[in-house]
Parts: sequence; C-alpha cells; structure tokens
Amino acid sequence: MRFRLIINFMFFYIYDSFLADKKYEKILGKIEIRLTNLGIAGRNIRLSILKNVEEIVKDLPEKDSPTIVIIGEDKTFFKAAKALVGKRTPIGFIPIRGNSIVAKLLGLPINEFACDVVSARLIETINLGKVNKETFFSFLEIPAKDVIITCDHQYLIRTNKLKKVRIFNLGLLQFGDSFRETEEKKMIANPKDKYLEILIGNPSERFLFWRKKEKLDSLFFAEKIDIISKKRNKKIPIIVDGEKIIELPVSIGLSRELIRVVVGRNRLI
Amino acid sequence: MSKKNEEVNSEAETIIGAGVEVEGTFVSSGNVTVKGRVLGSLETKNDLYVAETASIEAEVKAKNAFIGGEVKGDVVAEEKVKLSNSAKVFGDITCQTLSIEEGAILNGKCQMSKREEGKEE
Repeated sequence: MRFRLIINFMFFYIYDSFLADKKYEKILGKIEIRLTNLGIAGRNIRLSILKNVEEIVKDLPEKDSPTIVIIGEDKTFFKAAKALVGKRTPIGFIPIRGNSIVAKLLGLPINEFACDVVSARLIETINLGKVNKETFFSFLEIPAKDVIITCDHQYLIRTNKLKKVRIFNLGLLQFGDSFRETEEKKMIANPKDKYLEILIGNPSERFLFWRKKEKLDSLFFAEKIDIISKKRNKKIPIIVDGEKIIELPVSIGLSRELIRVVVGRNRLI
Repeated sequence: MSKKNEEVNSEAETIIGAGVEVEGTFVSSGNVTVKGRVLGSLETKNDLYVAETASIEAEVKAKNAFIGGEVKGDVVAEEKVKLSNSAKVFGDITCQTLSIEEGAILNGKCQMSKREEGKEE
C-alpha cells in the first residue's frame, strides 16, 4: 500500500483596498487561478475603508500555523507584518505594482508569478525596528534640520544644510519610495544584522522639467539611536513606514521579537 | 583625497559626509570614510579614508589610514598610513609603513612599529 503525505497549510489572502478597482480584475483572476492550480487557494479577505489590515491580521486564528498573504502594495504589507510581531504565523506577499521595493528585497516576482514563491514557502526570520513603543518594518523619516542624533550613547551627529534623515531596518538605501531597474546597484539595509542604518542627505526634487538627483551624504550603523530636537518645544514629525506620524523625542532600536516572512530564492537579504 | 584613494574606497561602509559633524567616541568595525567633521576619537578595525574636505580633531586609530584632509590629533595605524598631497596632520603618527606625498604637511613625530612575525596568542 502506498501512502502519500499531503500537508495542507492554511492560507489567508488579504486583498488591498485599491484592488477593488475594475482594472485589477484580470490580474486578480490570474492570481486566483494560479493559486488554485498550485493547491494553495485559501480564504480571501478584501480590505476596505472600514476594514483595517492590522485588526484583521491580529484576529486571524494562529492554530495550524496558517500563512497570511498580502496581495497589494508595500505599505499594506508593512502594516500586516507589524501586526504579526511575536506570532509564529508567517507572512507572504504578492506584489501588484512593479516598483515594489519589498518585492525586490524579498525576491518576489509581481502578480501571479509570485504565487509560486508563496507555494514554495521558503521562510526567513527577520528583525523589526522599534521607535518608542511602536514597531516599524522598513524605515523612519525625519527632517534633518534642527535634530541631534545620538548613536549607541557614544557619539552625536549634527547635520548642516541637509534635508532628510532616514533610519532603515529593511530597504534600499535611498530617499525614493520606489524601485527602478536602473538602480540595481543600490545598497540595502539588511534586517538580519543587528544594526539600523542611518542615511542622511537630500531627496531628489523636481522643478518643472528639471529633476535634481538625490544626494546621499552620510551613512551610519547603530544599534540604539536617540533623536532630540535642537530647539526646545519644537515639534518635529517622524514618518513611520511612509505613513504614520509621531513626534520627537524618540528612542529607536531593534525589536526583540522577530517575524517570519516568505521569501523567494532571488532575495537580496 | 586623491582619485586613487577614491577608487580604493569602493568597499566603504560608514560614511561621515561633508554635511555632518560627529562628536564623541566613534568606533566601527568596517571601513570608514570621513568627508565632514569629527571631534573626539575615531577608531576602526578596518581602513580609514580621510577626504580633502574632512576636518578631524580626534585621536585616530585604524588598520590603514589614507589621509587627504586635516587631522589634529595622533594617528595610530596597525599597518599603513598614507598622506596624500592635500593632507595636513598635526599630531604623531605610529604605523608600520608610512608614505608621504609631496605637498603633504606633517607636524609631529613618526614612530615606525615593527611587524610582529610569528606572533602567538
């Protein structure tokens, strides 16, 4: 008698809210067919204004170690990943837009081609960053003017005529938020080392038909970072993962808890 | 920093750019490039590149130091110190190999340490 071992993983697919647009119907159709052919079709959950991705992810059952897969864009993936801190549930990603930085770093093709990566279920454990009591997946952004950065309680960094500071856990070391094929040689911030990367410089700017290139001035590596404002009582906003805003002063480090991410073979981390 | 030094510099990790000032005890295990201002002490287990625009007022320790800018403080290198024609060093240098280009300024003592052969731990 021959026995065939079949392991059924549970899969939850969370569809980004922008995918409700009719123009994505065809792509989603192809993804669903591919998932069914691979035998990994699961429960589909569609995000909307009323359905918050963090709450949905937190409420999903952990029993049988299901895989949560985000179909959509980087920002939604960041939010879902942060909601999984401390859980053993792995998270996968099917990127819909071709300029996804996460897709590039995790070695994921876009659209239906990413289904094969989800099916292979190759998992990497990575760090998350922590800013005060909140976690972040990719980066923080702060205006460089009027701040003092202290690294590892050992040295201070003061900036002069520079506009932006980005602190990375995972990402391409750049100020832009999308990946361009021409920039293949860019350095990456690796979430598997014990350091956060601090990038200081000026982002690219556009004036009518003229585009000023971004300027990367400085790069530091630190485990603990404290940032204060040079001027008392001055509120300086910090953008967390390209979205949420908190204010100075902040204490930044790596979260002790890790998350499990489904990656492709061509990953850069 | 000379063009030659910049070519060698492709493996640089930490970059202290021209737009920043660092104050305190800076310690690194990778290559360090300084184009801005450093005050305090600067130590790396690997190579240090000091660009022409750099101004360092610190005790400096590195495996190899390639200096093209201004350093006020002692420089200790495990192996090599190279001063390019734009270098200005106001302090003592300790190293195994010293190379000084024409035009460099060195105001300080030089101490050449011997290579320790067959060193046992």
